[in-house]
Amino acid sequence: MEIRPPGVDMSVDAVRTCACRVRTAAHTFSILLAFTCLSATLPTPRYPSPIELALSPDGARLYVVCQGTDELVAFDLRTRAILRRIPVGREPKSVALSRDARRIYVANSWSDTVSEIDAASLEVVRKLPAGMEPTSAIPDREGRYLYVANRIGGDISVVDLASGVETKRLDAAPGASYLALSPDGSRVYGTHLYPNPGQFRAPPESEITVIDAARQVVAERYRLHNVAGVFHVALSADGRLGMAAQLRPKNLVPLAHVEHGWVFGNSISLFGEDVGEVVQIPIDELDRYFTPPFDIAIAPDKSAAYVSTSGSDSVTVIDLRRLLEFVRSKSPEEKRAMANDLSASANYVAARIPVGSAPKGLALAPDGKRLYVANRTGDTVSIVDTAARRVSGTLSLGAPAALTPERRGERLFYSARFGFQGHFGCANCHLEATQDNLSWDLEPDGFGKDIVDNRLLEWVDGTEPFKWNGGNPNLETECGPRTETFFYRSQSYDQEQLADLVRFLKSIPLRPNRFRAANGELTPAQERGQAIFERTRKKDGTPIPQFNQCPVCHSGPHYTNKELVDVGSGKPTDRSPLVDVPQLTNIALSAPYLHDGSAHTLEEIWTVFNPRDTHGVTNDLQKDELNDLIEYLKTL
Amino acid sequence: MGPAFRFGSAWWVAALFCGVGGGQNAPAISYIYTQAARYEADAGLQGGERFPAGAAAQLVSGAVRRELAPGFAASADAVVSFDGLRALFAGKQRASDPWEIWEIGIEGGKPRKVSSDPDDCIAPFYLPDGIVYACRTSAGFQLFRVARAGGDTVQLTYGPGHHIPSDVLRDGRILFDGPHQAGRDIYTIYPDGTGVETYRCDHGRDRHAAREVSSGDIVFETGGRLARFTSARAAQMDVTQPAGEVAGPVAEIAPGEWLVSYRPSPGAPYRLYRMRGGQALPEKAADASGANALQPVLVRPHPAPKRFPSAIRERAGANLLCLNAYVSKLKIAAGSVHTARVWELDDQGTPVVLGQAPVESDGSFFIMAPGERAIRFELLDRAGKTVAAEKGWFWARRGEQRVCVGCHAGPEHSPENAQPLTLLRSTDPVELLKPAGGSQ
Repeated sequence: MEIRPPGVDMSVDAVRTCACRVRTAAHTFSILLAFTCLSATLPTPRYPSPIELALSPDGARLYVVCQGTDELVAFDLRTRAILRRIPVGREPKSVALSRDARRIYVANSWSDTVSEIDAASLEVVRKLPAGMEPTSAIPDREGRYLYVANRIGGDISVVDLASGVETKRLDAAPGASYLALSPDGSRVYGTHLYPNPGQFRAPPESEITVIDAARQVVAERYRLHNVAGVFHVALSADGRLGMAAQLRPKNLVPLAHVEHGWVFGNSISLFGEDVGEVVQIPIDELDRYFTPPFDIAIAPDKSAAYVSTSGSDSVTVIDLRRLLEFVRSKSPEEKRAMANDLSASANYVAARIPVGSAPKGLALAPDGKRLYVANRTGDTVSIVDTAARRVSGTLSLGAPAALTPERRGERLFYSARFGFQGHFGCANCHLEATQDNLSWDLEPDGFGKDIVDNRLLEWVDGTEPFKWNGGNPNLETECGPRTETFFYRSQSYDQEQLADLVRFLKSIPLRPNRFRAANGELTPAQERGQAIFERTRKKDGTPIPQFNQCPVCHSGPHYTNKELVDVGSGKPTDRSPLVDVPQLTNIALSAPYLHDGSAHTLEEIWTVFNPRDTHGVTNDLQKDELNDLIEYLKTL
Repeated sequence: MGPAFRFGSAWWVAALFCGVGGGQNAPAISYIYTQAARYEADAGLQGGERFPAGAAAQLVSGAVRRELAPGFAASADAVVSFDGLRALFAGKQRASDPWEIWEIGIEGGKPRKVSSDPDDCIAPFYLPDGIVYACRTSAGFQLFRVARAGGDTVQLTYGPGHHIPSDVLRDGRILFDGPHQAGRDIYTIYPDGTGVETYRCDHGRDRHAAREVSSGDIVFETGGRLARFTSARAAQMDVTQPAGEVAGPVAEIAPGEWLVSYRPSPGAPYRLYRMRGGQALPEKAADASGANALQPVLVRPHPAPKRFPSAIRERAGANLLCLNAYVSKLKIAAGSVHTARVWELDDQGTPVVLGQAPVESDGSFFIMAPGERAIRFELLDRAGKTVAAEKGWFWARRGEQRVCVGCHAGPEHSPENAQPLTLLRSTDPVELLKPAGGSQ
């Protein structure tokens, strides 16, 4: 079943209108119905948005995943002509070839499928199953199994390619996203976007999940301390060096300024026999930042590694021989300190190559002479001459000639050029226009006060006011003076740019809800949960005051009445106990919860932070009833 | 001197491309420099007169040269507006006047007085939304900012000694020369006076007259030679240059090519040269007939720096948080620090103790210090003995909130992501706003 999500083809106003009607007509409102009623609206321009690349082994053909047009584009690199545009599923996010190059696999993140494509006919031959939001799919060396990283599921599916059946699902980590196979085929390395659950306001911990491909079990988890937001992982041809692109957020220190790498450390985790223990190395400089690192391509002779930095519109070239020499010369203590040393990169960064707008996926020619770079919001592929270290050509993906305000806003969203010294952009915290599952200490409130959790950035139009204390009445205020003064600390958007950015933000659709049946029907557990959500009396028959009934505050299409309320979740360090009622749509995706992220799970909202029934009446509920309530909330 | 030509923008742009003037076959450039019979290179250290025999800013376009501000008894320190049409300079209408800040059109016209200080004001620079310059105070030259249209000035620096702007970086910060031990070093500050710090912490020999070039490098003079900071490195880097002496700053003609005040041998007057790598060719049009030719600046449009949005708020003082005092270029033994003592320089220039704040086991401490006063920190052990102490003075604006990675950590150190224990103890700082009675 192909889920049709909102957004890219539909006006946001129309989505809201329809959603409201559905909500009014039946309390069990289903966004899906809203999508159906929107099918007659006029399409808006769709931009290819190339995000990932793969090369045929002979280097003659380039496959480009176009997230915006839901297709795989095959280029003949000898003629630089497009061979074919192959429709795939919704929001495709990755491409990988079988070892014999006969099959191509594309992970369709919103369809929860993987398209299997015949490389000869360039036809989709199968849709393979996956978990929730497959973001990367790679076949094993023998072509027997396909490994699929599922972002929402936080797991890795193992699909038997002979039968087309998912045979295993391995527990990975939150936001499981990118995979790489070791050259000998014995290991699959996986990364993830969101940090592993931990203590409130503790340093974020991430991992590289290592799967034993022979036994199809998680063999190891390489700990990445103080890391959240791990993107691609790559292995050298000899298998001795692994590299993972990552962010080191500084969410625990007050964001009083930006200089000196105060907000993010853009870095690479090194692992493997070449380095021993995991070593984190920065790619930033003292006065210039290269963010966020996304993809990594390692030269076949291991002379260089190329790192795309999508907010900085550049590719960083790392001299691997100098890097390994530098790392090996350091003591264990010096290696640990290296991650925060902005002068370290001078010892191994060889060049920064300007490319197109928002470079994401990379593909290196088999001889290492050309690097292909997918410019996501530029709608092109840059061809880099790796010897000259400059762009020598460009492949066009045939984007609409004119940029809509939403598209201009999207470019602004992904750009880091507005942050002081190019340090970061919107997409550093709102990873891929979503969230980072972190809580931050912003400066304007004082130090250590008003800790704020980063909210999900989907379908936010109509959820004003913004900020947890409701201090910003609209997105123009949220993203204009506030962002300039307290985040970027530098001149940022002019009025036209701000208007474009807001248009883009309002156009970010809600992802398909994976917990709600396609026909809108609820499971028995979800129905029981709905009854709890909507109840007006406690189990003993005592009336629940109206103000303490769930649907009173969590009302409307977004499940927020947009009011400030005191539900008793305030902390002594909060300046006010009043919080803006958050929307509940796709609430399952945005852990941790509460205004400051202190509740790890939905259940903790009631079992830990609601002792006096001030946040709805929940203390008369048993564990299984809370489970039912959670099952229902996940469908919203 | 009164040239009978219109010195308009179209004129000098045309001259730029016509190849007149300049050394050998180099393309012509339009520029301003300061001509001075005597130049006291070290006067900036003492706040003394740099041009004891007078100075005159000269405007050169192609082979034509004239005074930038005819009728002034003295003029120097010229800089050009972002659109290339106006210039700021320090000038004296009469020889007995103090130096004052003026603005004049490149084409000429009536100069406009910018500063209103009774004492010397020098070294003006354009900000995106104002002008910054240095004025002499009882504590030495300090930086002040004023709106383009004039009005009240805002003092930006508060330390003892002399603080002289040398450039405005493209990221919006002001670069200035400030005192460091027996010499000078290069500092940055935001245009609202917050965030003062040395540009790097390797502290070389008497660094000053720094300019940012198109690569982002900071090129400066140190002991009569040029050196540079690059973004990638924490320490000063060499600049390939011919033997001889340079009087900074440089003016960038093109990437790697600078107009420089230079003399091949000591004792000779400084002249303007085009310097590229190890070669320097004299700039003929700026022949000063035995006088020194100094302070070159090109007359052409150039990008405005980014505007800086001030986050200063109404507070009784400045909130200063140190994340970890043990992160330091000094050798501070783990666990050795018990308290941080804060000193203030009073109005008589005497150091007085403001008080002490506890230092947590992770090295963090949080205080509120008086804003706009020279202060410094001293780290003490449990017995009250000094573990480490700042040698120089710094300051913060009232209402500023600032966090340091450590004590003399260096700008290459980004913070470790950890919640400071001092904020777990209290999110309110230890208030050290008034002297506690002690003195040094």
